[in-house]
Amino acid sequence: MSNSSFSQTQGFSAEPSFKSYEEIKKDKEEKMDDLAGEPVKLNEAHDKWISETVTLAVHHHQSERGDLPAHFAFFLMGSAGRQEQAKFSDQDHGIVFEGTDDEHQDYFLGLGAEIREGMAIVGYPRCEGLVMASHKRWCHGVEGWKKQVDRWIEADEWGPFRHLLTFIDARTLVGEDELLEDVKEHVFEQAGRREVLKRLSENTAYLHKGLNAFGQLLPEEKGQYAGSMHIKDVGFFPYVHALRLLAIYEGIHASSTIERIRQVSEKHSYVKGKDVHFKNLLELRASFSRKQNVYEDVHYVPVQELSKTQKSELKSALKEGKHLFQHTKKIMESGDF
Amino acid sequence: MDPIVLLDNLWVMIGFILVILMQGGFILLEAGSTRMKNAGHIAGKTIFTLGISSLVFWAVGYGFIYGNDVGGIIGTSNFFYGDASTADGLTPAVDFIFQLAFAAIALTIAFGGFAERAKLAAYVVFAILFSAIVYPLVAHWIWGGGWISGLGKQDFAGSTVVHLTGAMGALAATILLKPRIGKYNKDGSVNNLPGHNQVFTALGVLFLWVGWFGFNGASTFGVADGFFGYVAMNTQLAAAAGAFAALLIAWAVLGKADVPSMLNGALAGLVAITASCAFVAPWASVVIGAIGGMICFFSVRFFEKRNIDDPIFALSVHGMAGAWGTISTGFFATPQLAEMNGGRAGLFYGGGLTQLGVQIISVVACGLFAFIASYILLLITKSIIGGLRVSEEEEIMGLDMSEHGAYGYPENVQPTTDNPSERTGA
Repeated sequence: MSNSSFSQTQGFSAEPSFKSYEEIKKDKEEKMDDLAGEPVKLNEAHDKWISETVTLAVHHHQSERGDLPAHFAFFLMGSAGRQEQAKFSDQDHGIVFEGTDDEHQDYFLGLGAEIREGMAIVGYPRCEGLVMASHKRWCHGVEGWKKQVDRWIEADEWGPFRHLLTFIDARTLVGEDELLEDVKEHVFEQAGRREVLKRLSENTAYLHKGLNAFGQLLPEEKGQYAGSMHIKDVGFFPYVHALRLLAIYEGIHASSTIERIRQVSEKHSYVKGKDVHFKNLLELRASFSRKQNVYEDVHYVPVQELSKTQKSELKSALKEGKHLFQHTKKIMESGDF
Repeated sequence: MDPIVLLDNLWVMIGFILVILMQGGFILLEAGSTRMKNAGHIAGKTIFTLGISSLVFWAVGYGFIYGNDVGGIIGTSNFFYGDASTADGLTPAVDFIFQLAFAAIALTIAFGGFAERAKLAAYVVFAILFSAIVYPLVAHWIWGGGWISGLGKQDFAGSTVVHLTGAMGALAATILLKPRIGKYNKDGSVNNLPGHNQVFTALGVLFLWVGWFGFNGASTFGVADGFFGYVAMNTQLAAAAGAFAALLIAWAVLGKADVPSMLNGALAGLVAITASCAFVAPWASVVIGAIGGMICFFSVRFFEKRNIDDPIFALSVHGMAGAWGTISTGFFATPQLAEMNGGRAGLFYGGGLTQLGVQIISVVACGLFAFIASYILLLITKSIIGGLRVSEEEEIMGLDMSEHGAYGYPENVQPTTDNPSERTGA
């Protein structure tokens, strides 16, 4: 399966629809206000803008460094990988290519750097944690990726496990999905081992509290976002973390949390119906998109401006998310699947 | 001198030393609760205002409290105190110096409301006025044979006299000084200006906790019957309950085990039991301390939301908990302990509403007087020194530099405007 809008060859003949990154940026800015309130359409649009940026970057890079030396897949991770991006989103991406690191890594790192700069112009800030195809950690050949994943698991440390969890959400946007799928097969096989799953579960232990002991919402008390809730930490993350662990266990390669919920619900009845709450959270965040002017804004929802129904939905989503997260961790760490 | 009497004197002297060491607790508590750029100032002002309050207490304070009573309002003798006699009881000098330490604590509490924005000169002038007028009058009314002591008021070691009085001074100051720069946004929302060292704050609380055994324990003024042990036990239980209850309520309400709330709770427990430690049963001490801790938690949030910037939480820890502690004996005083230490039994022991009424009247009267008097005296201070507050520029650079010319942490503070002429070209 290829998610690319063009047929990729080593010569990469697809023509970009835009002539410059600035044109893509303009298109994004013009359409954003209409799309920001609808999570599904917004994510389709993000995919389009990013794939156009990558296409343009490939052309620029080919003109500087020559034709692509091998097939590749450009993939997204983080909220983009899960198709849960908000109005603003930073970069989280990588590249997997055919062949060895010795042969082609230098070329594709250059492409990663071109993509990074292009995306920054379009309006996706560079990732502070360097989760970008321009960084050696996130740009390998298929075998290079597999070896790196093995090293991450072997290291048995917090940092490498974080990288592994990040990679689990990878989704091909441009190029040959078979390459990513090949690596993912290996990753799921390794990460799905009981002892590894237990360690990955321990790695995602921290749950931000959204409700106090009396069931009241806990917005920020002070500072710029006083009165607002960090919906990413308290709302989305419990679902994302729990479903990622369940996806590894069940060998489900889908990266979207809602799709993961759908696929694991059959076997794990306690997950059934949780997609409603997760969708509510996505829509709640999107409903405030007009007030989101900078990247940090998208994580916050002003509690006082919520309607009675929205408050009730948010409380339910937080309560259910907490239960989902804690129950999933319990079974992952006890091995009692 | 009879050995027991000698021990009485020695015990009160130890109490004096412990209460003076509480100033060390305040230095750590206040410095830890404020920002690095003001640390040297906060620590230093505590020492020199201790000096000022000592001199004022010697000159007029003791006389206004314990001198010959006029109309139940004020004492009028024993100024420039110097009684060197060794009476067969507590010697006048030991009594004097123990009382002096309390006056100094009240002043330090009041200065909590000054933190991080008041001029050094404001400390100097207000220290004299508060120590000469506000504290002595309240102390005379309750401890010096004044009109409230005539009603049978129970305030064993000073929940009202020391803590509430000091807190009302702090309230007047916070209102007149207005919030620190950056504490509130234009829309009224609150910003966090966290203290720079939570370890200092916790150590400060521990110093105060230990010092409180002198504050309450030595307020027995003797060792003969060993009653100081009972007072100490109640003190310990209330502090423990205050810390624990505040932690639990913070956890339940905020969803996190907030350390500053817990530390304030311990102090609130201590403040609350100060009035009642000699009048109530141990179980009641636990209840009084726990309620004190919880009142303090909600009080901090109450004041903060009303644009009252109280960096050291003096209003909540000393004011609200002090008022609660004073009123609590009206509920919990046992008949036996009331008979032994004065006043009547509380409501829960069949004493009716009489003692409760006396306690409430004294809280309202002393609280109002201390606030109004402090407010007026601060206005006088303001007119004398030409404003209570440092300039915006001085506040931003920090009082260490603006008021003393050197940072408490010279290697760690990055001055932003310590030489403004270089930045502005002025």
